[in-house]
Amino acid sequence: MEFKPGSRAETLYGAEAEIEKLLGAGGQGYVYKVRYNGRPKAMKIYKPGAIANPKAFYSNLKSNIQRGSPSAEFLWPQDLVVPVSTPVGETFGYIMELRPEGFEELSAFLAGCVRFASMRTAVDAALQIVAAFRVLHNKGCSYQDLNDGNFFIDPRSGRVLICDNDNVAPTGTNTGVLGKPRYMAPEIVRGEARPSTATDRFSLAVIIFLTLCLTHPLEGSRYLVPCLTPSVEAKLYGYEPIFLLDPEDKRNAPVRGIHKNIGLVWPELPSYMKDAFLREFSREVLFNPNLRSTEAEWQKLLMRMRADIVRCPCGDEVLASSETDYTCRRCGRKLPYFDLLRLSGCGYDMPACNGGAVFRLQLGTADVDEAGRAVLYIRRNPKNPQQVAVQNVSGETAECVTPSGRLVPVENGRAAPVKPGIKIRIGDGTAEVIARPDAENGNDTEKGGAENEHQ
Amino acid sequence: MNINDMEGVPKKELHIFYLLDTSGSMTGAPIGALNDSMRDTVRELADLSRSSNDASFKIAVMEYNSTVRWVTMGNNGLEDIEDFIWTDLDAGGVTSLGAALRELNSQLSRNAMQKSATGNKRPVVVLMSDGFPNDDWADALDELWKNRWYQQAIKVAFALGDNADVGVLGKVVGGSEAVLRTSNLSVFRKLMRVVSVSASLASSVSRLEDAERTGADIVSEALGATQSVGGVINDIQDVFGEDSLYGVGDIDFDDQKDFN
Repeated sequence: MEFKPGSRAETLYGAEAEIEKLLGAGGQGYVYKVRYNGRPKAMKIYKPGAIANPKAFYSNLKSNIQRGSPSAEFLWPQDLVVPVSTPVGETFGYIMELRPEGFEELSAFLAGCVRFASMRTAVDAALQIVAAFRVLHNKGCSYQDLNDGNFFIDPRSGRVLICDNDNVAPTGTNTGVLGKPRYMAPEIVRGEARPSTATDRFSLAVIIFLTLCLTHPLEGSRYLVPCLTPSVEAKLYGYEPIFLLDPEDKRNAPVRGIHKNIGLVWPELPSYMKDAFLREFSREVLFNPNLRSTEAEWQKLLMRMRADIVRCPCGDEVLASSETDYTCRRCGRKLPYFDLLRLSGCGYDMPACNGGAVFRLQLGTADVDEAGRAVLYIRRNPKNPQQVAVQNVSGETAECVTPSGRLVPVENGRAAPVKPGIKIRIGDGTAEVIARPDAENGNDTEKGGAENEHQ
Repeated sequence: MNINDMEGVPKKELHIFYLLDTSGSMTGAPIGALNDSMRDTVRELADLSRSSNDASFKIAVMEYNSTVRWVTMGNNGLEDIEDFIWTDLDAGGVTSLGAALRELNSQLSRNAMQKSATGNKRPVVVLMSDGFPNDDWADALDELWKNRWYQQAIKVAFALGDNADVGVLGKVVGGSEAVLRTSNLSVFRKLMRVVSVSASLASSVSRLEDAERTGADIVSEALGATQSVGGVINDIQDVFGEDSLYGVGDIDFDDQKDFN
């Protein structure tokens, strides 16, 4: 049932919503552009009969609106479109913000129609997704239908918006949705469980792997069967899920010529990321929802990966983790020299290169809402491009300890130079600039040119 | 590493077969409505294919009247949906449904379907007729039903006008619930597009709890999409997937050998 432009829908809390145009139709309903309280908004209207239990669904939507958006990333329901009767049955809907210009669906990235500006931008997107789900889960809610259609992402910045929040419900409550094939947790596919925080975490791991590797973790050689029948799907995603890179079980191994992406990206991934994926998609964890990685664990891993990505002057991105020899695989040259930042909240040092960021969580324990917030940016000094500086963006005044022991306050927005021996303190956390262990014999490296600027 | 070296996620092929009755009784407004609806449908399916990350769509269009002809030019009648441009069909001749089913059976063969290195999703078959078959269709249908691809296909039929043989169409697609009956050409135009899209996305949309979802829901959805009709459209069973989707236990992959 489509509403004609100009027709009006009554809302619970605000004025009427006047329909301007149809934006899209999905399985469950239609999304319109509307004018609501004088502002352009989006309105979703369900198809009559598309919701299993409309009364419970409506009241859950209402609770979500009253509860409010967990964080800025969620395009949260803002008002209800009260039930209207149509010739084909009663229906209702909700009002939310429109998708801003420049944001694309994650599914378009996966289809190869849209590309991230860089691998680091892809990591930034994954970081925002896990941070948002950490907040949502921390509030006692689960998303229940996590899939590639739920995310709008800006390919240039990696900024993420999460839509379709109508199935979000307190853990233990189900709205009737089971999830989307390829994203549903195996125990749901097997009919043993209903959507929950634990099943969200499976979908989240799939989304992270897909975003970074452009490969579905369970779609190896077995996916290439002549006909993907329901029983084959049940096996691939439910009864016999096998990670395509499972070191012990090669029955679902990638196939040359088809699984090209995984062949390109896997060898480049840092070992801590490989270990995390191998663990997450191991038989043991696939069959034991309690062992799945939490959002906080993904946050730590992705922050480390982001910190490790440095751009070589040849244009390629290099994972300059301390375990590598700082050599670009493409051009074969060593990266220009950079100092390292030793962070109080983690057991690794990160390259202090232009474009880097330090997050609150990397300096020590942090509140759920604050963990994913950047507190320091590493920037090139505009007056002296050879010099990089650490900019305080924490919102509070930081303290810089110079190599001679002098204390200098660094107000929010101000910067301190990256020089070995300098420490920046923010609250209880510290970031200390150290020279790279190989600095003395690094005479074949050129100082100051490495960067992870990704413009 | 360079993220631009990567391509889209490996995806399967989805083959969508149309068997369209262009016999003499389609002359005039009906053939016009069919051409219009197919032009829109093809464009919409091409958009879906482009943005899909689990299937790239191929289309095979067969017109059948006194003879049978694949309109699509690609190998085995299949063509990439994004390359396919609809060319209007003309009406004339009789309704050789049996010949059409035999031709479909031979195309749904291992050779035709296994051109894809990534394999296929379950094919979609959309059959349209406005009359009674004039040839021997029963034997052809028996043979077709032995084809595993056909058994697995998501099948739907359109019975256009009052003279369409709903009984035969029901046998072809596995039950009269999967036959959409309409005499209203504007409804037909719209439903061809709606049903083609739903069938193509059958396994790519979020699933509700099976027990809660009845055929009646799907009827009201199809009705809802048309706005102005009531009563003449029957349940489109199978279009949104089957109830047993995730209830099946282990399956021997040898089963795949039967797709020939």
